[in-house]
Amino acid sequence: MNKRFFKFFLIFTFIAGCAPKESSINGDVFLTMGDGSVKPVAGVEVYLFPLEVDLDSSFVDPLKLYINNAKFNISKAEVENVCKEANEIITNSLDQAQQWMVDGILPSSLELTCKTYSDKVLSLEDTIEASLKDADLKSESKRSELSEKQDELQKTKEAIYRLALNEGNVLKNAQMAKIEYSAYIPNKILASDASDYKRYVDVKVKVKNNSDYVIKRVNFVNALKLGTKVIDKDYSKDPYLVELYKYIDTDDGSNSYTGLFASTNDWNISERNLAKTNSYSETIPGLALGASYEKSLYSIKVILNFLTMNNRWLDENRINIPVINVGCKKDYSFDPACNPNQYVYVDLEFPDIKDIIFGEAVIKEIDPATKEVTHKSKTVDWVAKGRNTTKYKNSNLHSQLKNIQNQIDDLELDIKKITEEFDIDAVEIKREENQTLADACNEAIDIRDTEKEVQECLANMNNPDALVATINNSKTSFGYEIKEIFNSVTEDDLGYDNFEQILNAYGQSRNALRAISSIQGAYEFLEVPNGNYVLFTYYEDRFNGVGHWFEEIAVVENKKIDLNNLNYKKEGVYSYLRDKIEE
Amino acid sequence: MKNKEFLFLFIFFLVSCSEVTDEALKAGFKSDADYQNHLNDLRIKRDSSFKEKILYASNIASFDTDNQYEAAIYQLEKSRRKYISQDGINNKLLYASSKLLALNNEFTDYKYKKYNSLEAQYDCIEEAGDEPLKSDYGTVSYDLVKSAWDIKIMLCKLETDTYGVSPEFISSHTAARKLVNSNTEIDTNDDAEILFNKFLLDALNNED
Repeated sequence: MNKRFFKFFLIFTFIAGCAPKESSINGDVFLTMGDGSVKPVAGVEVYLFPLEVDLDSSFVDPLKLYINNAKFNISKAEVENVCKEANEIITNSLDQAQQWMVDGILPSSLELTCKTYSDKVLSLEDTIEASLKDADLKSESKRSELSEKQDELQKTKEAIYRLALNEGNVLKNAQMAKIEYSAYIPNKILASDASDYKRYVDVKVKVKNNSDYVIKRVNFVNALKLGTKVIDKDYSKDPYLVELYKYIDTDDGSNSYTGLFASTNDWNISERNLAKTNSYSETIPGLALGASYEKSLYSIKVILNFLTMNNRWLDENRINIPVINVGCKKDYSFDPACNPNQYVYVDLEFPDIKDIIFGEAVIKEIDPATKEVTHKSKTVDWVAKGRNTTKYKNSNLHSQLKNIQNQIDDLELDIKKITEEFDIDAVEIKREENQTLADACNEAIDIRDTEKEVQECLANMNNPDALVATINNSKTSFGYEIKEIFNSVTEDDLGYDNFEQILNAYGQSRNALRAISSIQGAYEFLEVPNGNYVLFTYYEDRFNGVGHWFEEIAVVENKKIDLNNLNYKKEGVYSYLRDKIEE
Repeated sequence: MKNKEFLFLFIFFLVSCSEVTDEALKAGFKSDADYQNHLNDLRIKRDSSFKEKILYASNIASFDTDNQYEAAIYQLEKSRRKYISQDGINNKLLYASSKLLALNNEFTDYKYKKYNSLEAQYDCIEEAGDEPLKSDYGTVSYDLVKSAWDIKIMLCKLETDTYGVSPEFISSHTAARKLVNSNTEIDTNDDAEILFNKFLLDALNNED
């Protein structure tokens, strides 16, 4: 009876306790390509990870641990070096913290001592703040007066500058008045059959330098006048000027590329125009005293048959538009005959000079190293010239400025005396002393804790969990340095090409079931204990890039699970696992 | 008889349902023995895979181009990081791989010198000009001009043919191969260094 009972018990134990139900899992791994062909994925490792509890605790957490351990192993050597170095240095640091030692050690009650100093610092800061407030209150009228005087000082300085500027401008205007400026349109005779591109006249400007300085640049107003109308770059806002513009803008000539007013720059005679070259091919800047310069500044359209043209706007406005005739000739006997008034241009006023940049006398400079000779003319500083005038020098603004400055000095002295009455400096010295002590005390805490952590670090070098716990709990500068080392190691430093390779290595490290897909892409797991699993494989080719299959499955009976385009996750697409890992 | 049956039952329970360490359980194993066997298999695979990478990168005679060597060293560097990250601890492999990677600076210098040298050679030959043609000279003057040109070209080649790696560079690769192939048991990095230096000395002496 006992024997029978024993046998029955043994069989029951086997069946009920140690013989779980099993099923088989199989399927095909394949991808359908863009051209419709089916590509079996052969020879890949397919893993079946058992999930004892759920995905997070049975797969994600151990995977996190696996990656963290890998990072730990990579940074271990560096951490070990830092710990050893810190261990050597810590003895010297302990010497520096002698004043805080009790019976040769830094006590655990050091925090309390440090707090005493920190509290004292805070209390002294409050005292200083209160004294400053009282001092401010007492000196309020003086400070208000000081503020007014400072405004007055600023205004006087501005007035002095304006005086120099105005005096400078007077001098400049006097020089500008000496410049001889004229403009004209040279006579022109056009062939009777001249094309559009030849129908223009140039407007020439001529400048003679009668001033006492070199002329570096002349800027002209970029506008023309017709009676009371001013034609400039804003002409398009006036419908009358838009029509008129058609009869003055030319397709060729000086402004053929930019249009008459389209240029962003003013019309000018530039520094480059005015520069000359001497017999040594050296450039001499500016227009010299007494010299002249002439330039085609812009061009005006020559209009064909202006007076006879059948055009409503012209018929209504022609009378108000003065024109000047341009000569006409027949080059060949078979050319058409010239009509009276065949060519005219609109008679506009010439532009005014807007500004002239003057330069000081040209000086010669020789580069000591290369012996290269250059000629330079410094732009005239009219404000500096204005400061040299008698009017500027004799102005009472200077004495006014001095008086205000003296008043400000007196007021600042008064405020200082009031502040000194509150003895703030003495309290500030005390605050600094206590701050120094608090800093030194906190440093002693850092040294004390570092010493402890270094010992733990050296003892736990092969125990990742204990070492990580020490580092996580650390508040010392040493712990921060170690944390930095750990944080600087990323998954890229682990030697894998991509995340899928890490998953593969993780699969190999665990008791995952593994199958290799056949040449037709078929895989099979036999006698799989029923339960929850993750089915994983990784694949990479030129067309599909890097990707993986990652399927959570429940095994309760034999099952066929194909891994194909429907459940294929391209690298970066499937972020659930990455998000979990990076949490 | 009764005692025998109970003893059998006791052993059965002990073997089939005994306590397993947490580490083994976390890795999905039902017994420590299985887990240890698995770890041992992994270690062997990991070591042999890393050893392959070292042997490939250290076989410099098999590389036809500098780029092939550079690619092998790049792969070795990655494999070393992977090996360490997977807790690989074979000191022979770690030391040999670190020595090969440390030589990379010398290889970079060599490549730089080689590039400059070839550039200088090219400029020198350009300066020497085209080979003189017989048709442009008389027989006597052609021989003179041709000899002068030949000497110029020879000097260009001699003057610039000065780059190369040191004997230590070549021998270190031999020593690294010997170290990873050696059957000597090595427990520490220092022991690996001693053995490597012995192999390096042998290789340098053989070269002499």
